[in-house]
Amino acid sequence: MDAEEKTRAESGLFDWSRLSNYVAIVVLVISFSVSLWRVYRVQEVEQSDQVATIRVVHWQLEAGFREAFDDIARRFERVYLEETGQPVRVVQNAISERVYKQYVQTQGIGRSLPDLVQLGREEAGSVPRFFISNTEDVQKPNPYNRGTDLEDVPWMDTYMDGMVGSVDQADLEYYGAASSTLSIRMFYNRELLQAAFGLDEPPSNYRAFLDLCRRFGEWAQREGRADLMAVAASQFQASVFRSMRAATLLDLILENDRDFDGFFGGNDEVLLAYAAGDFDFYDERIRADQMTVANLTKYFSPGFMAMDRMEAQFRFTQGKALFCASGSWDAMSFNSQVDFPMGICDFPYPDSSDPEFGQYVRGRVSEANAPAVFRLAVSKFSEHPDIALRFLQFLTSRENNQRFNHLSRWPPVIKGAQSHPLMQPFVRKPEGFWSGDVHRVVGNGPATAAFSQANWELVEHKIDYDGFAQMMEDEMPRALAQEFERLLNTEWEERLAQEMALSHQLAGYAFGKTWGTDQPVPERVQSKMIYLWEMRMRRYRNSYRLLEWDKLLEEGAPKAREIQQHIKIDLKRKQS
Amino acid sequence: MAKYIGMRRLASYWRLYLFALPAAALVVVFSYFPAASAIYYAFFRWNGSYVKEFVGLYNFHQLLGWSPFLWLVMAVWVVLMMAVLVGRPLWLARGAPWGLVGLVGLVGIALFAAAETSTVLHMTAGQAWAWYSQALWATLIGVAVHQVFRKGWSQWLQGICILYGFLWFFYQSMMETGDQTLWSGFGVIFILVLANLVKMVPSIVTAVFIHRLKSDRWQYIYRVLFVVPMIVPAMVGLLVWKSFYDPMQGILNRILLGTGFLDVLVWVDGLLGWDVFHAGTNPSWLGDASLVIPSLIFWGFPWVGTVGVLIYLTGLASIDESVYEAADLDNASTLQKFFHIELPLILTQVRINLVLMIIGTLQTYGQILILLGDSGGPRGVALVPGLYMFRSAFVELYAGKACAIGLIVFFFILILTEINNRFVRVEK
Amino acid sequence: MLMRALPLVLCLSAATLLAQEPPAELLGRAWTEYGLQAFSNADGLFAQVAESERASQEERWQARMGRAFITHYQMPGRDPQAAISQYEALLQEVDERDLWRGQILGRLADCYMEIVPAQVDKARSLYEQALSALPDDSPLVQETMLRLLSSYLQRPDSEEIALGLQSAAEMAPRFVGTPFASVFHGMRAEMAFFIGDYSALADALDAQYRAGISNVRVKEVVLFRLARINEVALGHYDRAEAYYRLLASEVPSSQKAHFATLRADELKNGQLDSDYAPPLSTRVEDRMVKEKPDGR
Repeated sequence: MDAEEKTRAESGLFDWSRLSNYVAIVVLVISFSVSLWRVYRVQEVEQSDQVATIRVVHWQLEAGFREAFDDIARRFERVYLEETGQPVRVVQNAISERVYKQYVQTQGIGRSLPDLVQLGREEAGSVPRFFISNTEDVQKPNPYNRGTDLEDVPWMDTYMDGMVGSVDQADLEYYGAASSTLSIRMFYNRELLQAAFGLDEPPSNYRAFLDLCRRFGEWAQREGRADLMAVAASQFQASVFRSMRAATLLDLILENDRDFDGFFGGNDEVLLAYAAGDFDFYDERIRADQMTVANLTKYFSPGFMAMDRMEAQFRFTQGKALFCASGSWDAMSFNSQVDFPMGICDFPYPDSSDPEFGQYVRGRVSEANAPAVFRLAVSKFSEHPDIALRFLQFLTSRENNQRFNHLSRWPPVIKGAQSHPLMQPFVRKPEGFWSGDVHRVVGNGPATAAFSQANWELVEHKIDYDGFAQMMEDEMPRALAQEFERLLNTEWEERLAQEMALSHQLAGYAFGKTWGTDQPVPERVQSKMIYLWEMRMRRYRNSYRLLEWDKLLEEGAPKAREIQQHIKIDLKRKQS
Repeated sequence: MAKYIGMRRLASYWRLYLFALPAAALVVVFSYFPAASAIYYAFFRWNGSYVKEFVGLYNFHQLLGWSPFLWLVMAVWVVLMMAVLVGRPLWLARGAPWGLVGLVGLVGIALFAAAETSTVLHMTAGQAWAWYSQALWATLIGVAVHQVFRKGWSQWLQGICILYGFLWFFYQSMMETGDQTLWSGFGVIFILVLANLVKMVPSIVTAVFIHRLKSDRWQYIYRVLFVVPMIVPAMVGLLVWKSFYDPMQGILNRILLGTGFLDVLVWVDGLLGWDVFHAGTNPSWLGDASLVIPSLIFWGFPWVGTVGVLIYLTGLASIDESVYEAADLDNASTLQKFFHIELPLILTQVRINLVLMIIGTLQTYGQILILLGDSGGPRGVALVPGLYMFRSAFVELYAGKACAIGLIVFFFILILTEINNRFVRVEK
Repeated sequence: MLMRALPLVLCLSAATLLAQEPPAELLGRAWTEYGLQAFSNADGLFAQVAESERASQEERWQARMGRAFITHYQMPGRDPQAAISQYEALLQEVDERDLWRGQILGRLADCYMEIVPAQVDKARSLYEQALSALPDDSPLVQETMLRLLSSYLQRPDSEEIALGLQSAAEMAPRFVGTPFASVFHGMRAEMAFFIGDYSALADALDAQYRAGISNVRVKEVVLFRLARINEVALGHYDRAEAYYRLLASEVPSSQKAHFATLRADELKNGQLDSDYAPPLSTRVEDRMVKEKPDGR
C-alpha cells in the first residue's frame, strides 16, 4: 500500500481508486450479457415451434431493396396463412458482397445455410451440392399466376429470358428463380442541366452530347465552379461506357468471322486473323470503336481510371457532376441520396451522319440478352423446402414481381410485368447489334492485359489513337504467342472437364436403373447427354487452329512468323 | 545456454515437447505447408482448381528466359564479381578484376555476333550495343580507377561500378529473354527499396529527438502520441491517402494550387521537358504513368513510422548517460554525438529494420492493389512482382506461374538478406 | 481410455451401418458423389460395393467401373494411362456380355485418345470393337459412333478429316430418328468447316437444326451460321432469308435477332449489298469450295 492508500484506509474513507480496476471487466461482462441475450432472443423467435421461419440471405444492400422484399414477405405471410392456416415468417439477412462467397461456402460446408440463398457469388460446382434443383417445378405453371393469361404457362416460360440463367452448368438442372433484370443507363442532374443550358433532357445525339459536355465545362469555369465536371467517372464507369458503346465493329466481325457464327473476339479467330494480317490496330473500324468512347472520356473527371466506382457515384450524388453511368440496381440509391431532381437517359450514340464514325456505326448495342438477377435458390438444409419454394413462386408471379420491382425500383423479369415510371428508361432495348473485343482470345490473358494498359493511356488522353495502336502492335506478338498456348490448353482442359460431366451421365444412362433411390430419370439423363455433346462440339477446334496456323507459316505471313518466334512449346504435343 | 535434451531422454521430458507441439503444428500447417505447396505447384500448370499438369521448368522458362549460354555467362560473372567484392578465394581475387573485364569483353563480342541472327535475342547490333554498353563502361571504369589509385574509396567505387554493371546486364537480359512484366516489376521494387532506405531516416531522427528531450514526461507524451495512430487500420490509412491523391478534391492538389507551387512545377516541367504538369490541369497522381512511382514514394509522408520510432527509442534508451557525459567533456557537437554514439549503438535495430524493410518491399502488393487496382496502374507501371503474382493467380488463373514468381521473389529476398548480414556489420 | 476408444467405436459403427446398406443404394450414393466431384467419397463407396459379399457380380463390376472412372476422369489428377489397366482387368472378367463389353471398350478407347501422345488408330479400332459388341438397339451405339467420329478431329490433318466425313456418311442411316441425330450432324458440320467445304457445312447444319437442338445458344449459332453461309458463301439468298427469320422468331433473346430481321427484309427486297452485311474477306472467300449462286 502506498502512503495515500494507507491514509484512506486509516481514515475509513472508501477507496474509489480500487473500483477503477474493475471498470473494464464490468463493461465486458455487461456487453457480453447484452449480446448473449440478443442472440438468444433472435434464435428463440426463429426456432419457435409454432411458426415456420423462412430465412433468406442475399447481398443486395441498395436503398429500398430490403424494404421491398419485406413488403412481399409480409404479403406472403398473410396469403400463406389464408391458404393453409399455418403461420409462417420470412426473415431476410443482407450480407456484404465482399464476404458473401465465403459466407455461402462456410455455411454450406457447415450445413447451416438459410432456406433461400441468392446465387451468383458461389464457388463453381457448389450449387448441386448445397441446393435443391427445381427442374420439375419450373416446367409446371406457377400457381400464383391463377386468373391471369399466364395461368397455364410453365413457370419457366413466364420469364422474359425463358429462365435460361437458372440452369447450372455443373449438372444442367434448374436452380432457383430470379426476380429482376438489369440494364445500364446514365443518370443526370436536371438542376444543373437547367441552370447551364435551360434543358430538361440531354441530347441523345452523340455529337450534340459531346458539345454539351464541352460547353458545360466552359459554363462551370465562367460560374467559378471549377469543381464541377460533366461526367463523374471511375474505371467502372469507363468499362460501362465501353460495354454500351456503339456497334462500329460489325463489318470487321462479319468480314473475319471464319466460322460464320457471328462472334469475333474472345476466340481463336482474333488470333488467326491478326496473324494472317487481316486486321491490325490501325484499322479505321477499331479506331472508331475505341474513339467513340475516348471522345467521351475527355469530359470525365480527371484521373478517373484510378478511381473507385463509389467515389464517382459520390461525386454525382453531391451534385458535382452532370452525368453518371450505372445500372438499374443503383436507381433507388441515387434517388434517395440526391437532393436535386434526377433524370435517367440512354447513352448517346453516333448515327450514320456522324462526320467521324458515321460510315462505321451500325447502331446501338442490343439488350436482347439482358440477364435475370436476384436469383434465390432453396438450400438442401432448409427445414421447410416446400414453403421456401412457394415463396419463390409467390415472389415471381406477375402481380408480385411487378409490385416487388415497383417498390425496389428494379426492372421486372416476368412477361407482362410493368416497370415503375422511374424505371421506364431502363426497359431493355433489343433493337441493336453487337460488338466484339478484338484484343481478347481467352479470358483475361496477356493480350487483355496489354489492351488494358494501352486503353488506360488512351482514355486518359495521355496518348492519341496512333500511340494506342503502336502500343498494341508492339505487345501483340508476344502476348498472342502466350494466348495461343493458353487457348490450346484451355480447349483441351474444357473438353476433359466436359468429358467428366458426360461420364456421369453415361453412367446414369448405362447403370441408372440399378441405383436404388438415387435412380435418375432416363429422359433427363439423355437430354443432358445431348446438351453436353452440343456444348462440346466447339471443343474440337484445336486441330483446325493448328491446320490454319501451319498454312499461315507456310505462306510466310510475317506476323505469324513473329508470333511463332515467341512460342516456347510444341503446340501439337497433345494433338499427335 | 539451453539444456540439451537428447533422444534417449525424450521419454522423461516428453511433456516439454508436448507443450511445444501445438505451436509447432500450427507453424507447420500454416507457414511451412503453404510454402512447400507453393514450391510444388511452381512446377505445374495449375489453375488453382481442376487443372494440374506437370510442366517441369516451363514456368521458370517463361519467367527467366531460357538461354543456357546466357545463364552460364551470368554465373561466371557472379563468381568473379563476388571474388572482387569479398576478396576470396585469394587465388581468384587477385586476377578477378581483369578477369571480369575480359569476360565482359567476350560477352560483348558474342552479343554483336549473335544480335542479328539469334532466335533468343530479338535485337539489332545497335540495340545490343545500347543494352550492353553501360555494363561494359561501368565495369571498365570501376576496375581501372581502383587499379590506378588503390585506395579505400577507389575500392568502394570499384565495387559499386561492377555491381551496377552486373545488375544492368542481368536486368536487360531478363527483360529481353524472360518475362518483361516481372523484371520491370523488379525494377520498380529496386526504386522503392532505395526510396524506403531514405524513408528510414525520419524515424531515426525522430527517435533521437525524442530521446534527447530532457523531460521524461514529455518523452512519455510523445511516445503515446506516436503509438495512438497504430489503432488506425492500415487499410484506412491507404484509403485516406488515395483521397489525398484525388485530382479534383484531394488535399495534395489543393495545397499545390493554393500555394502556387503547381505553377512552379509547370515551369520546371517546361524547362526539363517532362510533359507531366500542364497549366490549368490538376495532376492525376494515380492516373498518370509518370506520376505513379513518385506517388508511391511520397505515400506516407513524413515517413515517421510508429514501429520504427519505438524500436529505435528502445535502442537509444540503452545508451548509458556516462557516454554522453564523456562526449560533452570532449566538446562533441550534436551531430558528432549522433554519428559517433547514437547511430552506432542502434545499428542492430537499424539492421533489423533494414532486413524487414527489404523483405516487406519485395513482398509488397496490397498497397498498390488498393491504390491502383490489379493492373498496377496506367501502363502497368506499378505491377510489382507481388501484384503480378496476385494477378497471375486470381485474374489470369495461372496459379502455377504465380508460385514460380513467389519462388523467384523468395530467392531475391534470401540473397539480399545474406548481403545485408555480411555487409551491414555491427561493430560491437 | 473410454475417450480414446470412442472415435474408433463410432467409426466401426458407421462402417457397420454402411456395410448393411444394400449395394444398390451404395452404388446410387457413390455415383451421386461422383457427380458432385467428391471423388474420394465415391471411391470409398465403390470400394465397399466391390468387396461386398452381398453385391451381385454386375454390381461389383459396376463398382469397379466406377473406380476406373474416377482414375480416368477426376480433375485434378486424371490418369487415363492408369485407367487403361483397370478397364482391361475388368474386360477380362466380363467375357462376351455385350453391353458391358461395349461400354468398357468404349472407355478404353477414350483413354487411348486422351493419353499424350494419343493413339488414335488404336482408339478407333477399340471404338469399332465396342460398336460390334453393343446391342443394335442400345442408345449407347449412337454415343459411341459420335466418339469414333470425333477421333477424326483429333489430328490437324485435312485428309483424315475428309476420311471422317466419309465415315459420317456411312453412319448417317443409323442416326436417323435417334436423339443424338442433331449432335451427329453438328459433328459433320465441324468436319466440313475444317476442310472448307461450305456446301457440306450448310447441309450438315441444316440437318442439325431439323433434328432438333435443345440448347438455345447452340440453336442461335446454328441458325446464324446457316443464314450467313447461304448468303455469302453459297449465294442461296432465299434460304438465307428464311434462316434469318427463323433466328429472329425462335431466339428472340439473341443480340443478332434484330440484325437478322433487318437483313431478311433486305434480301426479300433484293438488296444484296447492304450496310449491315459486308462482303466476306478475300482470305476466307479464297478457301471456299464454291457453288454457283442462284440467279438474281
